[in-house]
Amino acid sequence: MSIITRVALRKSYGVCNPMNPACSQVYNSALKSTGSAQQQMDEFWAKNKETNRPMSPHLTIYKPQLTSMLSITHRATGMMLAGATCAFAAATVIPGAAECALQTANYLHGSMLGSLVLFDIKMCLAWPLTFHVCNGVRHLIWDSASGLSLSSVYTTGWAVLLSSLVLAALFTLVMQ
Amino acid sequence: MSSGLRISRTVMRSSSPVLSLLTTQTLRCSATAAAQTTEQNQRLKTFSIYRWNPEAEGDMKLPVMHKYQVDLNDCGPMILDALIKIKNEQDPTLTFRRSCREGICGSCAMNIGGTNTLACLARIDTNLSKKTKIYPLPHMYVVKDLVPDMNNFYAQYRSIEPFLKQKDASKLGKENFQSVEDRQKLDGLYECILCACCSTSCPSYWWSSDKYLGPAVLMQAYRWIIDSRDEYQKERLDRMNDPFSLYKCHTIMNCTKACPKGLNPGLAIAELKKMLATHNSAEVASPKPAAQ
Repeated sequence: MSIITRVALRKSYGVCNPMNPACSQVYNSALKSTGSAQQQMDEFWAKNKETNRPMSPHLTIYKPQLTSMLSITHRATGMMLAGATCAFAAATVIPGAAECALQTANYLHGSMLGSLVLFDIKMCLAWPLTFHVCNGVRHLIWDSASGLSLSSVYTTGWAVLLSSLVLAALFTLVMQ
Repeated sequence: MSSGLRISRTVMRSSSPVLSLLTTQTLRCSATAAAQTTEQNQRLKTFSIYRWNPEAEGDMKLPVMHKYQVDLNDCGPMILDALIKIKNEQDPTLTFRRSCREGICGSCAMNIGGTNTLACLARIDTNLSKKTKIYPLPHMYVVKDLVPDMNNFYAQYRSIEPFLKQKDASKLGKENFQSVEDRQKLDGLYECILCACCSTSCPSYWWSSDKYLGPAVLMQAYRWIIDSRDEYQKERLDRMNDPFSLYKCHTIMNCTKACPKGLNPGLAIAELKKMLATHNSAEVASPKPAAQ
C-alpha cells in the first residue's frame, strides 16, 4: 500500500471512526442492522416464549455444594428469625400470650420427654440464631472483598457451621 | 467403484484360490478371538445424557435421559472424548457444541456430574459402578440435546461495552501506555473465555437472567472499569446503578466454584460493589449542579 493511500485512509479513519463522538451517528446507523443489546435481549425472550423449547433442569440436578447450601440456609434462618421476632412482638402485645408460652415451656420440662429430646428441641430454637449471626459476620467480611478466594470460602464456611453448633449447644446447656 | 472391486476379486480368485481361502479363514479366526478377549476385558461406563429433539412429535415431545455405555479401554480420558465416541459409533443424532478440545474456546460447557464444567477438561470418573449424568447448562432454553440458547448471555455481554473507550480523540492512533502494575490488575480477569459455566451455576441468575447480568458479564464489566487506559469509568459504573444489574448478587459463590479456568468472578463482583459504594457516596457528597 503506497504511503499516499495510507495517509488518506488514516485521515478518513480519524474523522469517521466509532471512537470519535462526532461520528456516533454513522456508527449507530451501522449498528442498526444487528440491533442494540437491549433489542437482542427482547428478541431472545420473545422468540423463546413463542417456541416450545424446554428449560434445562437446575435445582433438581445441580450438585449441592457448601457455597449454595450455606447461602440458602442463611436465607432460611433469616426468615425463621424474622418469624420468631414477630411472634415475640405479638406475645408482648396480645394479652395472655406470654403466659401461654411460659406454660408450654414448663409443661415440656415436666413431661416424660427425656433430656436428650428437650436438648434437641432447644437446639432447634437456638441454632438458627447462632448460624445466622456467624454467617452474617462472614457476609460482612465478604463485603470488604476479603476472604473471597475459594479456599477461604470453604474454610470459613466449615468454621461457621462448627462454631454455630458449638454456640447453640452452649446457649442450650447454659440457659436453663 | 464396485465394478473395480469385482474385477480384483476375480483376479485374486483365479490366481491362488487355496491361498485366498487360507487367508480368509485365518482372518476370521483371529477376529473372533480378538472380539472374545475385548468383551471380557471391556470397562463399560454408563453415561446418562439429557436428550430433547425440537422436531419430535407426540410421545417424544418431552426431554428424556438416554443411557449409553462406552468401553473406557477404547476411549480418551475426557468426557468430550466419550461424547464424540458415542456420536461416532452409537448415536449420530447426539448434539453438542465443541471446538478446541483443550479448554480455551468455551464451546463444550455443560453440566457434568451436577456441576458446570468444560467437557474437554472434565475427566471421566473411572468408577464403573457409578453412572455419569450429563445435562445442558442449567436454567437455559434448550435448542437441542446439550445445546442451550446463549443469545441472552451474549447480549448482556454486549450491553457492558467490552471495548476500550477514550474521550480524548487526540490519543487515536497512538500507543496507550500502561504501567506494569496497571497491567497486573487485569490478571485473573482477561483470561475469561465466556463459557457461561459461572453465570449458569448462579441461582440468582437462574431466577433473574432477564435483568441480572450474571458473574461472567460482571467480571468483564469490572475488567474494563479498572483498565487504566479506559476513560469511561464513571459511565460504566453508572450502568450498574440499579437494583438488578449488579445487586442481585447475594454472594452465593457458586460462580468461583464452577469456573473451569480457576478465575474468581465473586471477588470481582465484591470489588465492583465497593467501587460503586464510593462512587455513589462521591456523587452524594458533590452533586452535579442542576442543568440550566
